[in-house]
Order: sequence, then structure tokens, then C-alpha cells
Amino acid sequence: MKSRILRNIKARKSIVNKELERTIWRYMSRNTTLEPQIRMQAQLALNRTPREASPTAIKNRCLITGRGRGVFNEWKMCRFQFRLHALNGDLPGVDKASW
Amino acid sequence: MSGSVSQAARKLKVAELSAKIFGNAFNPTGARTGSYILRQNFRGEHIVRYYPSETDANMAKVPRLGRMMGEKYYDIDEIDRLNALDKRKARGKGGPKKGEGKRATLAKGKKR
Repeated sequence: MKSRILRNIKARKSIVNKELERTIWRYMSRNTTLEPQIRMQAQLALNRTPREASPTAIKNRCLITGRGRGVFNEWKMCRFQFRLHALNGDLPGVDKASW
Repeated sequence: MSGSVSQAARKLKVAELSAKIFGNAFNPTGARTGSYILRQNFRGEHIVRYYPSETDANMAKVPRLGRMMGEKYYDIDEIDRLNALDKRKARGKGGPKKGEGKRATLAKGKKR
């Protein structure tokens, strides 16, 4: 799953690179005071930017295994790695429940 | 009747002037200008910070004392791995050399 992590890092970097450009296109396409043709072109330009540069397309993955599901955002870990680390005592303030 | 119309026009004019003076936007028709997009914060830096940077990851591997003494970075995990390999080799449990593995010998046999 290492490749997944690397891909995610790459996507996050591309978001930063394309952020300013995307906000400009977004503003131009939503601005109704501009000419319709210009707005249309801005929308097309927005469509042409790669999908991975969209901040909504990003997924928080497990830092250790790269798993995309069952990830605790607070710990940036999937549920199994969270369990392992918690039982090992690596996570401060996390204790196994018992009553 | 005409008096009320002029009243509305004057109100509009006052609003325009006040907007000009106080630097506010004057948009009586409520047209969508997309200004909310310009008001949004840039969150790319925050998104990138989900993963620790390479230097941070390396710093985590360096013991604190070494960091304070200004020593070179070194990878503890890699050193441990090489030490373990040396131990195995001393017991004769190391991996085969290049060309002496299972597949390599098979290929040689086929050629003959």
C-alpha cells in the first residue's frame, strides 16, 4: 500500500500548486456579471484541471498502512493500527476500556 | 406618486454614495458576483500537512542527544536491519549470492 501513500502525497502537493489557479477559474465561472462566453471558458478550464488537484477528491489515509477505510482522523491511523499502537502504549491518553 | 418614486431613487443614490465612502460593495439587484469564493481561506497548506514532511520524519528517527550535538542523520531501522543480516550470515543463514540462487541454477541447467 506504499504506492497509495505516495499517490496521496502527490495529489496533496498538486492541490497546493493548483489552488490559486482553481480559485481564479472558480470565481470567474460563478461571477454572473461577467460575459457568458468568458464564464463558459472559465468552466471549461476548471474541467481541464486534473481531478487529483480538487481538494474534495482527497481522502485521509492511514499513515502507516495507507488503508483508505476505517481511518481515525484524530490519530491518522486505520482501526487495526490504532489498536496495535494503543495496546503498545504509543498513544498518550488512550487506554483500553474495562468496567 | 412621482414624489414616492423620486424618494426611492434618492434612497438608492444615498446607499450608493455610502457604499462608495465606506468601501462597501453596492449591488442593489443582488447579482451573484462570486465574491464568497475570494473570501474563502486557502486550505492547501493544511491538506499537505496531513503527512509529516521528509525532514520531520528523519528528525523523528534521530535520538535527541545526537540532534543536540549536531551529528549527522542516520537511520536506526536500517542499522538494525544490517546488524541482523550480519548475524545471520555469520551463522551461515544469509541469502545466496548473485547467480547461485534457485532460479539462476535452474536456468543454467536448462541451457546445458
